[in-house]
Amino acid sequence: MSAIAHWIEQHGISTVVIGLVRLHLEKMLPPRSLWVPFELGRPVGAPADAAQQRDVLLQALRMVESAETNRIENYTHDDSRVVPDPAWKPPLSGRMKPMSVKQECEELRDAYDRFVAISGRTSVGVAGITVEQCATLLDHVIQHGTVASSPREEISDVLMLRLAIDDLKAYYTEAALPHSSTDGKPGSRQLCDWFWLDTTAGQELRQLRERLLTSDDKKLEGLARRFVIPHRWRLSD
Amino acid sequence: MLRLHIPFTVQLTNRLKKVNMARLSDSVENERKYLEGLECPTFAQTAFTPPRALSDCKVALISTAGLMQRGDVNVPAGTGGYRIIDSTVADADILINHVSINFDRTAFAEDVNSVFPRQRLAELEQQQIIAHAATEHYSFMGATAPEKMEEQVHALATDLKSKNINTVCLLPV
Repeated sequence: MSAIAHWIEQHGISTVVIGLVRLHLEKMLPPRSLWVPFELGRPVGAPADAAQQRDVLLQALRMVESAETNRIENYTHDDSRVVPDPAWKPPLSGRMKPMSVKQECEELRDAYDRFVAISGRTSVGVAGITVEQCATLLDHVIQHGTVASSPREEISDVLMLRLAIDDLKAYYTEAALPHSSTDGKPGSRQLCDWFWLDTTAGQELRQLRERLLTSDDKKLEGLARRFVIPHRWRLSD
Repeated sequence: MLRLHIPFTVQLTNRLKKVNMARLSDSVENERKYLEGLECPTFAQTAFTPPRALSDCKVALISTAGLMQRGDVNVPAGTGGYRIIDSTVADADILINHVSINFDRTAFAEDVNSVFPRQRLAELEQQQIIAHAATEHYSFMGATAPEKMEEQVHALATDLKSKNINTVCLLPV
């Protein structure tokens, strides 16, 4: 990111980097940068907090008015969603844990559909197949330890599995997001703890990674090592 | 009274700790080690454009979130390419397809603008705080070696100049 800023600035275009890792800004010293103390993945702050997003963007853009080279400013306000919200309740709580990811997806369908109807969008779709197909691909590798054939010819089996897992994570997240103001505003840790620790999909994926780390299939082993479970929820490095 | 000088960053860090701020020092150990160990190229010289009034800024956004349009093929990892997201692409059709799984995606699921604040930028134009919000914005695939991006970044900069864009805000994930 900072490298891109250096190169674009060479063309006489003013740049400002919004940076999430201050150490990287300090090492690469882009022409101007604003360090924000948010978690990775939300460079302008909390979702649905337009005021904070505007504030961050404006503070960053104002830096082009300064003549100070390599300046790093700090954004000093907290992410309004970093504190867990006790009002939020995860979906399917108190119910028997489904035996398969596909069954779990079916049980989450109403909640997901409600979210999509209210928000008018979904971030599910990178695999280009249905959620049911995504779940079937994951259930297959969980049960057999091998990757099923990709439903799309142009995408390899292992890449399709990665994309299917990404879509499933988005599907579960959207099913768990609030549908009304009384549902609470969950933080990312609440949502991710629910997914990785309490759902069939999350628990199976964590176990699956451990099994695939010893796979003879190097592509599958590589997928498991780097592209499935975030650092925080891994059972091993 | 004796007053100790405490660097601002330390003051800030201590203050943020009190409110359970999410940041590098709050990362789990393996994640922190990974981020601390990432190679960062250094630049001996920094190009620097003269100060510019905010009201004169014609602004484009560049994200490294691996954003793509629904139905499109994403930039293959490691190739240094980028995707154009123009004003005809609705938020509902923007997907995140990044190779890394080590960042929060729940914010994007709830609100595109938390990653790609196109709407906030348009509002700054409507409020006449900036001169213009670009009709085209851009997304690279993060976690790509910077040297693989260089040629395409220069080509993009040339294109931006031809469109009279004079300011770029870069957003990571």
